[in-house]
Amino acid sequence: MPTPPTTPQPGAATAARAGAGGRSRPWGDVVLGSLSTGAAITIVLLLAMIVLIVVVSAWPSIKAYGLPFLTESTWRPNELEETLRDPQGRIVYDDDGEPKTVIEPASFGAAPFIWGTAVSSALALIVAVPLSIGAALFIVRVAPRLRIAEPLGFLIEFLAAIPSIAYGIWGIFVLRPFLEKHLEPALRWLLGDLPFMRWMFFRTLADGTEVPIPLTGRDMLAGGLILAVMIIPIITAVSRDVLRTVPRAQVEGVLALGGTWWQSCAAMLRYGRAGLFGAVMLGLARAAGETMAVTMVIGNVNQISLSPLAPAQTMSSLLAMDAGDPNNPLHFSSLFYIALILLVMSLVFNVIARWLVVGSKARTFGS
Amino acid sequence: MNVEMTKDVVRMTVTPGNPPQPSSPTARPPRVAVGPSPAMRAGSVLQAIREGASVTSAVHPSVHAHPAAVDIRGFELWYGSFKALHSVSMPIPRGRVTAMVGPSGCGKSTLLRSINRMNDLVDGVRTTGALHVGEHDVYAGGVDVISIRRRVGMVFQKSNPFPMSIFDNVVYGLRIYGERRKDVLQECCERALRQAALWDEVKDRLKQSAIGLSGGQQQRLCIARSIAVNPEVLLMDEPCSALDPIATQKIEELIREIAEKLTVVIVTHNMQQAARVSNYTAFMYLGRLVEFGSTADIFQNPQLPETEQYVTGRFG
Repeated sequence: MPTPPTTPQPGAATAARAGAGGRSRPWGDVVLGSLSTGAAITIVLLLAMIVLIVVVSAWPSIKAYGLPFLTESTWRPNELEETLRDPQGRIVYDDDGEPKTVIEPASFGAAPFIWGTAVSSALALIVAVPLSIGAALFIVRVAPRLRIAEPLGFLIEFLAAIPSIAYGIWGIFVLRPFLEKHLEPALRWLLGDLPFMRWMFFRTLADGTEVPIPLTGRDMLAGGLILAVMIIPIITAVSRDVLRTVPRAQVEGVLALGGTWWQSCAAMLRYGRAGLFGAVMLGLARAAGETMAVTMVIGNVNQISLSPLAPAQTMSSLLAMDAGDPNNPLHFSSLFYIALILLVMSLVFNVIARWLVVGSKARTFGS
Repeated sequence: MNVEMTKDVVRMTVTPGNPPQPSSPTARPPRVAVGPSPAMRAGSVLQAIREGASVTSAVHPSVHAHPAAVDIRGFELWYGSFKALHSVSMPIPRGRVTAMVGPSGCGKSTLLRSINRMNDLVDGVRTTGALHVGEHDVYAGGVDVISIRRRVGMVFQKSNPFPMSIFDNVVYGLRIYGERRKDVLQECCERALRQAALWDEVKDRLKQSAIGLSGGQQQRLCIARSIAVNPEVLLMDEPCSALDPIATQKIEELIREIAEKLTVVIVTHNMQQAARVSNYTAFMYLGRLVEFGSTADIFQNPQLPETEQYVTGRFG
């Protein structure tokens, strides 16, 4: 008599496991799944908290100054005791024969720093964009023939990884003396006598007299140049990737029509123009947010001057200088207001850049 | 025996001091064709090629009925150490459509791209032999590659309109040659678009982007762009392989029409297409020209059974 099987058939067992799997997931999946979900939520919360703290901390300053904060050019963290003068400019004395004084309250405005950030970033772009796009074109069109595309690409990515303080040290000990001793005197020698270039070398005092701006090498030009060095890697790397996505048929189409090598390069740049613009925006975002190296060479003077040879201050360098020891609650709050401006600006630049770069890749691969 | 070492025979036609004169019928190269022999077994030529032997191309006498627009003599090409073309000799008749057919990797695109020196873009390309476009030796030392490419237009497998308006696309070639007069550009644009049978479809939107056109329209635009500069020869590298049957039909009609004014060389994988559009057909295999003759002969009365097998789809 055959004994009935004591164990279920293999097929039945598999079916049972599959059925169980369909109803409840293994506990390892559950744990890892919730861990990674938790990590993602943590990051989003962290970002939300930072934005919230910045907005809340900036609120007193936002309430006090509103949007005119952006165009106000006074940044005076301390109360100012000033001698009172009558409308004719004479000192007013009190009954004891002492000069009367008035207390000017602390006052804050972001204009010098917005100006500083805008001009230093613009200088950086003027220097960095032609160099970076030229280098990217070299890597895509020339370097492969010489078998140096890979090492060059690696070097450029390495440049992007150098900590900004290293650039700062180089700025102080190499760039600044070079500007002070060579470049700026040469500029003054070359352009100083031209009447329409006086704005660059002289500043006008309150009483209307013009005095020469001292050439120190710690000025807007130094800030712009060091930013240029720092954003060249990212613009080059992204431009190279954009140019690599230009279809070969575009280049061949120009050459087959009897175009020159340069005309085919121009076609390449034209095809990738949206992505290249995105690369420039990424560079701009980095230039606007860059802090340490700029703080070390820009001169740290809270003023608006047309001249690139005058010292200046950017939003981020101001935060680095002032954040350690705010004088009063409004100072503290105004620093956060500036941080908020920086944050919104970087967000806008990055969103535009990503939209352009990703969009250009989608157009290339989609068509 | 139709398989033999014939390199020397072909080389004779390209010895220095005896420059080919393609447009002169008296200077016709010696025909090196081999007629079908009763003893020949089907596949023996292709087998010999696969074993690396040199074979004589079966070039029909009918290809000499017209002067050659492109005269290729003993042309060989290497990509690095890989020999992609083996002593190809073929006179491409002027004012006719010549199709190049053969299985993938047979070198037909390489040969096509040798005519306007597009292979220069590839690293490590070397060539020997002679290739003339009209009177001009394409591979002579110090030759102006740009002027060669202005004589030899090219249409690619995938349409490649530039990201600019339809008008700017068509006149691109003229502009890079320095033409700035607006009336000249407009006239050339209309003429080229009419020749490419695209004028009626786009005349109201010349200023719009060319990227918005359909695939077939884009390819006809690329043809218009190539013929706008009045080339002597138009090379077409599988111009219909990415198109639907209706767009393909339009391009084929177009090829027959423009061939009245210039010489067309077309690479195709589609035997019916070669039969429909071409006057002459060249069958290539592994870098060798196997047989070259009028399309009617190649398809109905080829000298080699291998050619017949290929064009009827029994091999390849």
